[in-house]
Amino acid sequence: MTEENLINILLVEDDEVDIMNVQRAFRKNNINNPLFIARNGLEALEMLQADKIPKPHVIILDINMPKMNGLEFLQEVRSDEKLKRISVFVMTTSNEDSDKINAYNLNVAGYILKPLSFEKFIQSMSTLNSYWKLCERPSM
Amino acid sequence: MNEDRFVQCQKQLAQVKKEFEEFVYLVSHDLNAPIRAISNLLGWISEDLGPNIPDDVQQNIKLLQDRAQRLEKMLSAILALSRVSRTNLETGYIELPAFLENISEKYRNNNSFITIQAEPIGFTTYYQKLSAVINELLTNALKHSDKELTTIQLTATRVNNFLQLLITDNGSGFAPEIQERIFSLFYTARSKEETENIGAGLTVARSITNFAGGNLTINQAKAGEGSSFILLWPLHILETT
Repeated sequence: MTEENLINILLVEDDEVDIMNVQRAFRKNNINNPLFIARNGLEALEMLQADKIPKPHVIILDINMPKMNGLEFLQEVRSDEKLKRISVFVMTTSNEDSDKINAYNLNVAGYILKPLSFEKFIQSMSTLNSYWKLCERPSM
Repeated sequence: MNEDRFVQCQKQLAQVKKEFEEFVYLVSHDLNAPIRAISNLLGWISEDLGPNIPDDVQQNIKLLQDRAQRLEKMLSAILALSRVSRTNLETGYIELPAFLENISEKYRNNNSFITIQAEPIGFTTYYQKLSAVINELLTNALKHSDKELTTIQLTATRVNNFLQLLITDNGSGFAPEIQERIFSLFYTARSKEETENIGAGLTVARSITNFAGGNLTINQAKAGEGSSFILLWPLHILETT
Protein backbone atom coordinates (compact mmCIF):
# COMPACT_ATOMS: atom_id res chain seq x y z
CA MET A 1 0.00 0.00 0.00
CA THR A 2 1.45 3.38 -0.92
CA GLU A 3 1.72 6.24 1.50
CA GLU A 4 -1.17 8.24 0.01
CA ASN A 5 -3.52 5.26 0.26
CA LEU A 6 -3.27 4.98 4.00
CA ILE A 7 -6.68 5.11 5.59
CA ASN A 8 -7.52 7.60 8.31
CA ILE A 9 -8.15 6.31 11.78
CA LEU A 10 -10.04 8.00 14.56
CA LEU A 11 -9.37 6.87 18.12
CA VAL A 12 -12.09 7.74 20.61
CA GLU A 13 -10.57 7.20 24.04
CA ASP A 14 -10.55 9.16 27.29
CA ASP A 15 -7.60 7.55 29.05
CA GLU A 16 -4.30 9.30 28.29
CA VAL A 17 -2.21 6.16 28.81
CA ASP A 18 -4.51 4.10 26.59
CA ILE A 19 -4.03 6.71 23.86
CA MET A 20 -0.26 6.41 24.31
CA ASN A 21 -0.72 2.65 24.17
CA VAL A 22 -2.22 2.88 20.68
CA GLN A 23 0.31 5.45 19.48
CA ARG A 24 3.20 3.38 20.77
CA ALA A 25 1.82 0.17 19.28
CA PHE A 26 1.42 1.97 15.94
CA ARG A 27 5.09 3.00 16.04
CA LYS A 28 6.21 -0.51 17.01
CA ASN A 29 4.32 -1.99 14.08
CA ASN A 30 5.38 0.76 11.66
CA ILE A 31 1.74 1.69 11.18
CA ASN A 32 1.89 5.15 9.66
CA ASN A 33 -1.81 5.81 9.16
CA PRO A 34 -2.99 9.29 10.16
CA LEU A 35 -4.38 8.89 13.69
CA PHE A 36 -6.87 11.42 15.02
CA ILE A 37 -7.94 11.48 18.63
CA ALA A 38 -11.15 12.43 20.41
CA ARG A 39 -11.53 12.23 24.21
CA ASN A 40 -15.19 11.23 24.32
CA GLY A 41 -18.14 10.47 22.08
CA LEU A 42 -19.40 14.03 21.94
CA GLU A 43 -16.02 15.42 20.91
CA ALA A 44 -15.71 12.70 18.25
CA LEU A 45 -19.19 13.41 16.89
CA GLU A 46 -18.47 17.13 16.66
CA MET A 47 -15.18 16.47 14.87
CA LEU A 48 -16.94 14.24 12.37
CA GLN A 49 -20.06 16.29 11.75
CA ALA A 50 -18.20 19.60 11.44
CA ASP A 51 -15.58 18.02 9.15
CA LYS A 52 -12.82 19.11 11.51
CA ILE A 53 -10.79 16.07 10.46
CA PRO A 54 -10.65 14.11 7.17
CA LYS A 55 -13.38 11.52 7.29
CA PRO A 56 -11.96 8.40 8.97
CA HIS A 57 -12.38 4.94 7.44
CA VAL A 58 -11.93 3.22 10.75
CA ILE A 59 -12.86 4.22 14.29
CA ILE A 60 -11.34 2.57 17.36
CA LEU A 61 -13.83 3.15 20.13
CA ASP A 62 -13.70 2.84 23.91
CA ILE A 63 -17.01 2.25 25.71
CA ASN A 64 -16.71 3.76 29.16
CA MET A 65 -16.16 7.47 28.59
CA PRO A 66 -17.53 10.71 30.09
CA LYS A 67 -20.10 12.96 28.37
CA MET A 68 -21.10 10.50 25.64
CA ASN A 69 -20.08 6.89 25.97
CA GLY A 70 -19.01 4.65 23.13
CA LEU A 71 -22.36 2.97 22.55
CA GLU A 72 -24.26 6.27 22.52
CA PHE A 73 -21.73 7.63 20.06
CA LEU A 74 -22.08 4.52 17.91
CA GLN A 75 -25.84 4.98 17.81
CA GLU A 76 -25.37 8.54 16.51
CA VAL A 77 -22.88 7.38 13.88
CA ARG A 78 -25.17 4.64 12.58
CA SER A 79 -28.11 7.01 12.22
CA ASP A 80 -26.06 9.61 10.35
CA GLU A 81 -26.29 9.16 6.55
CA LYS A 82 -22.77 10.45 6.02
CA LEU A 83 -21.09 8.45 8.76
CA LYS A 84 -22.95 5.16 8.95
CA ARG A 85 -20.56 3.19 6.70
CA ILE A 86 -17.49 3.72 8.88
CA SER A 87 -15.95 0.51 10.28
CA VAL A 88 -15.93 0.69 14.04
CA PHE A 89 -13.83 -1.50 16.31
CA VAL A 90 -14.76 -1.43 19.97
CA MET A 91 -11.72 -1.66 22.21
CA THR A 92 -12.65 -1.81 25.85
CA THR A 93 -12.03 -3.48 29.19
CA SER A 94 -15.73 -4.32 29.53
CA ASN A 95 -16.27 -8.06 29.34
CA GLU A 96 -20.02 -7.72 29.87
CA ASP A 97 -22.27 -9.59 27.46
CA SER A 98 -24.74 -6.70 27.39
CA ASP A 99 -22.05 -4.36 26.01
CA LYS A 100 -21.03 -6.95 23.40
CA ILE A 101 -24.62 -7.50 22.27
CA ASN A 102 -25.34 -3.76 22.07
CA ALA A 103 -22.15 -3.16 20.11
CA TYR A 104 -22.77 -5.94 17.57
CA ASN A 105 -26.38 -4.78 17.18
CA LEU A 106 -24.85 -1.52 16.00
CA ASN A 107 -22.76 -3.38 13.43
CA VAL A 108 -19.29 -3.09 14.84
CA ALA A 109 -16.51 -4.72 12.81
CA GLY A 110 -15.12 -6.25 15.99
CA TYR A 111 -15.28 -6.20 19.76
CA ILE A 112 -11.84 -6.38 21.29
CA LEU A 113 -10.91 -6.62 24.95
CA LYS A 114 -7.96 -4.38 25.81
CA PRO A 115 -5.12 -6.85 26.25
CA LEU A 116 -3.47 -6.86 29.66
CA SER A 117 0.12 -6.77 28.44
CA PHE A 118 1.63 -4.28 26.03
CA GLU A 119 3.17 -7.14 23.99
CA LYS A 120 -0.30 -8.55 23.34
CA PHE A 121 -1.55 -5.07 22.54
CA ILE A 122 1.15 -4.69 19.88
CA GLN A 123 0.03 -8.00 18.35
CA SER A 124 -3.62 -6.96 18.38
CA MET A 125 -2.79 -3.70 16.62
CA SER A 126 -0.76 -5.57 14.01
CA THR A 127 -3.72 -7.91 13.35
CA LEU A 128 -6.09 -4.96 13.02
CA ASN A 129 -3.67 -3.27 10.64
CA SER A 130 -3.55 -6.37 8.41
CA TYR A 131 -7.32 -6.57 8.52
CA TRP A 132 -8.09 -3.05 7.46
CA LYS A 133 -5.37 -3.20 4.79
CA LEU A 134 -7.11 -6.26 3.38
CA CYS A 135 -10.54 -4.61 3.17
CA GLU A 136 -11.68 -2.78 0.06
CA ARG A 137 -13.56 0.46 0.53
CA PRO A 138 -15.63 2.63 -1.79
CA SER A 139 -14.00 5.94 -2.73
CA MET A 140 -15.75 8.36 -0.44
CA MET B 1 -41.34 -15.57 61.86
CA ASN B 2 -44.37 -15.91 59.66
CA GLU B 3 -44.09 -17.13 56.11
CA ASP B 4 -44.62 -13.74 54.42
CA ARG B 5 -41.88 -12.19 56.47
CA PHE B 6 -39.58 -15.10 55.62
CA VAL B 7 -40.19 -14.73 51.90
CA GLN B 8 -39.60 -11.00 52.19
CA CYS B 9 -36.29 -11.57 54.00
CA GLN B 10 -35.20 -14.00 51.34
CA LYS B 11 -35.96 -11.46 48.64
CA GLN B 12 -34.02 -8.79 50.50
CA LEU B 13 -31.09 -11.14 50.94
CA ALA B 14 -31.06 -11.96 47.24
CA GLN B 15 -31.18 -8.25 46.43
CA VAL B 16 -28.29 -7.40 48.77
CA LYS B 17 -26.29 -10.29 47.36
CA LYS B 18 -26.86 -9.04 43.84
CA GLU B 19 -25.89 -5.50 44.76
CA PHE B 20 -22.76 -6.76 46.47
CA GLU B 21 -21.72 -8.78 43.44
CA GLU B 22 -22.29 -5.77 41.20
CA PHE B 23 -20.24 -3.60 43.54
CA VAL B 24 -17.35 -6.07 43.59
CA TYR B 25 -17.50 -6.37 39.83
CA LEU B 26 -17.43 -2.62 39.30
CA VAL B 27 -14.62 -2.00 41.78
CA SER B 28 -12.38 -4.73 40.43
CA HIS B 29 -13.11 -3.77 36.85
CA ASP B 30 -12.49 -0.06 37.28
CA LEU B 31 -9.34 -0.54 39.35
CA ASN B 32 -7.85 -2.60 36.56
CA ALA B 33 -7.40 0.32 34.16
CA PRO B 34 -4.98 2.38 36.31
CA ILE B 35 -3.02 -0.73 37.24
CA ARG B 36 -2.66 -1.68 33.60
CA ALA B 37 -1.52 1.90 32.90
CA ILE B 38 1.13 1.72 35.66
CA SER B 39 2.37 -1.57 34.29
CA ASN B 40 2.59 -0.22 30.73
CA LEU B 41 4.26 3.03 31.76
CA LEU B 42 6.92 1.12 33.70
CA GLY B 43 7.65 -0.97 30.61
CA TRP B 44 7.93 2.15 28.49
CA ILE B 45 10.20 3.97 30.97
CA SER B 46 12.51 1.00 31.05
CA GLU B 47 12.45 0.71 27.26
CA ASP B 48 13.07 4.43 26.73
CA LEU B 49 15.99 4.53 29.16
CA GLY B 50 17.69 1.89 27.03
CA PRO B 51 20.31 -0.63 28.14
CA ASN B 52 22.37 1.70 30.36
CA ILE B 53 20.08 1.81 33.37
CA PRO B 54 21.92 1.44 36.72
CA ASP B 55 21.37 -2.01 38.20
CA ASP B 56 19.48 -0.78 41.27
CA VAL B 57 17.07 1.26 39.12
CA GLN B 58 16.56 -1.75 36.87
CA GLN B 59 15.90 -3.90 39.93
CA ASN B 60 13.38 -1.39 41.34
CA ILE B 61 11.54 -1.20 38.04
CA LYS B 62 11.34 -4.97 38.00
CA LEU B 63 10.00 -5.07 41.56
CA LEU B 64 7.40 -2.45 40.70
CA GLN B 65 6.35 -4.41 37.62
CA ASP B 66 6.02 -7.61 39.66
CA ARG B 67 3.85 -5.82 42.21
CA ALA B 68 1.66 -4.29 39.52
CA GLN B 69 1.25 -7.71 37.98
CA ARG B 70 0.34 -9.25 41.31
CA LEU B 71 -2.25 -6.54 41.88
CA GLU B 72 -3.66 -7.26 38.45
CA LYS B 73 -3.91 -10.97 39.25
CA MET B 74 -5.53 -10.27 42.61
CA LEU B 75 -8.15 -8.12 40.95
CA SER B 76 -8.81 -10.79 38.35
CA ALA B 77 -9.39 -13.25 41.19
CA ILE B 78 -11.85 -10.91 42.91
CA LEU B 79 -13.56 -10.47 39.56
CA ALA B 80 -13.73 -14.26 39.12
CA LEU B 81 -15.23 -14.60 42.61
CA SER B 82 -17.84 -11.95 41.88
CA ARG B 83 -18.86 -13.80 38.74
CA VAL B 84 -19.30 -17.27 40.21
CA SER B 85 -23.07 -17.00 40.28
CA ARG B 86 -23.28 -15.31 36.88
CA THR B 87 -20.98 -17.28 34.59
CA ASN B 88 -20.66 -20.84 33.28
CA LEU B 89 -24.27 -21.61 34.11
CA GLU B 90 -24.72 -23.98 31.19
CA THR B 91 -25.83 -27.44 32.23
CA GLY B 92 -25.08 -30.68 30.44
CA TYR B 93 -24.94 -34.44 30.85
CA ILE B 94 -21.56 -35.86 31.82
CA GLU B 95 -20.28 -39.38 32.33
CA LEU B 96 -17.56 -40.60 34.61
CA PRO B 97 -14.82 -41.64 34.19
CA ALA B 98 -14.62 -40.05 30.70
CA PHE B 99 -15.18 -36.56 32.11
CA LEU B 100 -12.26 -36.96 34.53
CA GLU B 101 -10.05 -38.50 31.83
CA ASN B 102 -10.62 -35.50 29.56
CA ILE B 103 -9.70 -33.00 32.24
CA SER B 104 -6.65 -34.94 33.47
CA GLU B 105 -5.19 -35.45 30.03
CA LYS B 106 -3.69 -31.99 29.77
CA TYR B 107 -1.93 -32.33 33.12
CA ARG B 108 -0.18 -35.55 32.22
CA ASN B 109 3.51 -35.19 31.39
CA ASN B 110 6.91 -36.60 32.36
CA ASN B 111 6.65 -35.09 35.82
CA SER B 112 3.14 -36.12 36.67
CA PHE B 113 1.30 -39.39 36.98
CA ILE B 114 -2.47 -39.19 37.33
CA THR B 115 -4.62 -42.24 37.98
CA ILE B 116 -8.38 -42.33 37.90
CA GLN B 117 -10.64 -44.75 39.67
CA ALA B 118 -14.29 -43.97 39.13
CA GLU B 119 -17.65 -45.67 39.34
CA PRO B 120 -19.55 -45.24 36.09
CA ILE B 121 -21.80 -42.29 37.00
CA GLY B 122 -23.79 -40.19 34.55
CA PHE B 123 -25.60 -37.03 35.56
CA THR B 124 -26.65 -33.56 34.44
CA THR B 125 -24.84 -30.70 36.09
CA TYR B 126 -23.08 -27.36 35.73
CA TYR B 127 -20.34 -29.18 33.90
CA GLN B 128 -18.18 -26.09 33.26
CA LYS B 129 -18.24 -25.29 36.95
CA LEU B 130 -17.36 -28.85 37.98
CA SER B 131 -14.58 -28.84 35.42
CA ALA B 132 -13.24 -25.53 36.79
CA VAL B 133 -13.10 -26.94 40.32
CA ILE B 134 -11.31 -30.14 39.26
CA ASN B 135 -8.89 -28.15 37.11
CA GLU B 136 -8.07 -25.98 40.10
CA LEU B 137 -7.50 -28.95 42.40
CA LEU B 138 -5.16 -30.59 39.88
CA THR B 139 -3.31 -27.31 39.28
CA ASN B 140 -2.98 -26.87 43.01
CA ALA B 141 -1.57 -30.36 43.52
CA LEU B 142 1.01 -29.88 40.77
CA LYS B 143 1.95 -26.37 41.82
CA HIS B 144 2.71 -27.33 45.40
CA SER B 145 4.50 -30.53 44.58
CA ASP B 146 8.01 -30.95 45.94
CA LYS B 147 8.57 -34.30 44.23
CA GLU B 148 10.23 -35.00 40.93
CA LEU B 149 7.27 -37.13 39.97
CA THR B 150 3.95 -35.89 41.26
CA THR B 151 1.36 -38.61 41.57
CA ILE B 152 -2.28 -37.70 41.83
CA GLN B 153 -5.05 -40.17 42.47
CA LEU B 154 -8.66 -39.30 41.60
CA THR B 155 -11.27 -41.53 43.18
CA ALA B 156 -14.92 -41.00 42.36
CA THR B 157 -17.81 -42.72 44.11
CA ARG B 158 -21.48 -42.09 44.54
CA VAL B 159 -22.44 -41.15 48.09
CA ASN B 160 -26.20 -40.71 48.45
CA ASN B 161 -27.13 -37.82 46.16
CA PHE B 162 -23.58 -36.68 45.74
CA LEU B 163 -20.57 -37.45 43.68
CA GLN B 164 -17.65 -37.81 46.07
CA LEU B 165 -14.34 -37.08 44.45
CA LEU B 166 -11.11 -37.62 46.34
CA ILE B 167 -8.03 -35.89 44.99
CA THR B 168 -4.92 -37.23 46.68
CA ASP B 169 -1.35 -36.22 45.89
CA ASN B 170 2.13 -37.15 47.09
CA GLY B 171 3.19 -33.54 47.74
CA SER B 172 4.33 -32.02 51.01
CA GLY B 173 0.77 -31.48 52.22
CA PHE B 174 -0.37 -28.73 54.52
CA ALA B 175 0.27 -28.45 58.25
CA PRO B 176 -2.97 -29.09 60.19
CA GLU B 177 -3.08 -25.53 61.54
CA ILE B 178 -3.27 -24.01 58.07
CA GLN B 179 -5.66 -26.51 56.56
CA GLU B 180 -8.67 -24.25 56.80
CA ARG B 181 -6.74 -21.08 55.95
CA ILE B 182 -5.74 -22.36 52.52
CA PHE B 183 -9.30 -21.61 51.42
CA SER B 184 -9.02 -17.94 52.47
CA LEU B 185 -8.63 -15.40 49.72
CA PHE B 186 -5.01 -14.40 49.07
CA TYR B 187 -3.58 -16.88 51.55
CA THR B 188 -0.45 -18.57 50.25
CA ALA B 189 1.31 -21.41 52.01
CA ARG B 190 4.68 -20.27 50.71
CA SER B 191 6.11 -16.74 50.59
CA LYS B 192 4.61 -14.60 47.85
CA GLU B 193 8.17 -13.69 46.81
CA GLU B 194 9.07 -17.19 45.70
CA THR B 195 5.90 -18.03 43.90
CA GLU B 196 3.71 -16.42 41.28
CA ASN B 197 0.80 -17.79 43.21
CA ILE B 198 -1.57 -15.21 44.69
CA GLY B 199 -3.62 -17.59 46.78
CA ALA B 200 -7.01 -17.41 45.13
CA GLY B 201 -7.47 -20.71 43.28
CA LEU B 202 -8.85 -22.75 46.18
CA THR B 203 -11.03 -19.83 47.30
CA VAL B 204 -12.64 -19.69 43.87
CA ALA B 205 -12.94 -23.50 43.76
CA ARG B 206 -14.75 -23.56 47.10
CA SER B 207 -17.00 -20.67 46.12
CA ILE B 208 -18.01 -22.46 42.91
CA THR B 209 -18.63 -25.68 44.86
CA ASN B 210 -20.80 -23.87 47.41
CA PHE B 211 -22.76 -22.25 44.61
CA ALA B 212 -23.53 -25.68 43.15
CA GLY B 213 -24.63 -26.93 46.57
CA GLY B 214 -21.57 -29.04 47.19
CA ASN B 215 -18.75 -29.05 49.67
CA LEU B 216 -14.98 -28.83 49.34
CA THR B 217 -12.74 -29.76 52.25
CA ILE B 218 -9.22 -30.95 52.90
CA ASN B 219 -8.58 -34.22 54.63
CA GLN B 220 -5.08 -35.02 55.65
CA ALA B 221 -3.36 -36.92 58.41
CA LYS B 222 -0.04 -35.16 58.89
CA ALA B 223 2.11 -32.52 57.24
CA GLY B 224 4.52 -34.10 54.79
CA GLU B 225 2.16 -36.88 53.82
CA GLY B 226 0.58 -35.31 50.79
CA SER B 227 -2.80 -33.72 50.73
CA SER B 228 -6.19 -35.10 50.02
CA PHE B 229 -9.13 -32.95 49.03
CA ILE B 230 -12.70 -34.18 49.26
CA LEU B 231 -15.15 -32.73 46.81
CA LEU B 232 -18.83 -33.45 47.29
CA TRP B 233 -20.84 -32.41 44.24
CA PRO B 234 -24.61 -32.83 43.98
CA LEU B 235 -25.86 -35.28 41.36
CA HIS B 236 -28.95 -33.13 40.86
CA ILE B 237 -29.04 -29.48 39.94
CA LEU B 238 -30.24 -27.53 42.93
CA GLU B 239 -32.71 -24.72 42.52
CA THR B 240 -30.68 -21.67 43.43
CA THR B 241 -31.69 -18.06 43.45
